[in-house]
Amino acid sequence: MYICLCKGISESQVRECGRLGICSADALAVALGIEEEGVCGRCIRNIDRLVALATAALHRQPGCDLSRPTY
Amino acid sequence: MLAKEGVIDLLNRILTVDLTAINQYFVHAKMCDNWGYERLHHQVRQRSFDEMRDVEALVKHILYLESVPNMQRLGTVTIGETVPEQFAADLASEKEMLTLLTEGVTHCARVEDYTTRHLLEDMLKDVDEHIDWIETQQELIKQVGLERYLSEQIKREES
Repeated sequence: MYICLCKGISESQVRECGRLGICSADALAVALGIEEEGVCGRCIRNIDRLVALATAALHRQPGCDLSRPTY
Repeated sequence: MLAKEGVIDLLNRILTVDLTAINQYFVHAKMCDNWGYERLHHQVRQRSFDEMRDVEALVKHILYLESVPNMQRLGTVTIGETVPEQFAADLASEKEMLTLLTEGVTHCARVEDYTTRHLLEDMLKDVDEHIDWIETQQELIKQVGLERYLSEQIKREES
């Protein structure tokens, strides 16, 4: 599933960050580049889901359901 | 005619979900087109246009109720990277619509706005049909396997 349409970032990239130990909201935002200029800010608003996904990847868990709607 | 209590807020919440769905279904359709799945492209594209029709009905009705249709607010457009992911995302959207519309029908009955209730009930029928279609595709994938299912999506049926 894509998690950021402005930057074209998919969940596999988030999981990769998690496996490298990048799990905090701030670290993830920097690593994924989702707070750079020109972005809409939608995925940052839902950063908790990305944190959950990265953390799950770090612990080799399946992670959350990204098809669930958010706002 | 002025709306009864809570009706406009409800209609605008449904509008938000429908506007989001237009974009989501359209990108999914064009991704299918890009991959060569002509049949899926045609069917999913039609779903996007169905949502545009619903948005038109909602905007018209909200204006009639002397209020402002919120064309600014959008939900998160959830884009799947594969056909199964796209089905999961679209199903989640439709189920959200189902919940909202059901809540809407109940509320409209409570405040005795039967015109709005009728509009929402008509939309509910379409949502049910769409959910049925997606769940059928998912079941097909389970039964014949993803590759066999996708190979059937390459050629569009003769109209």
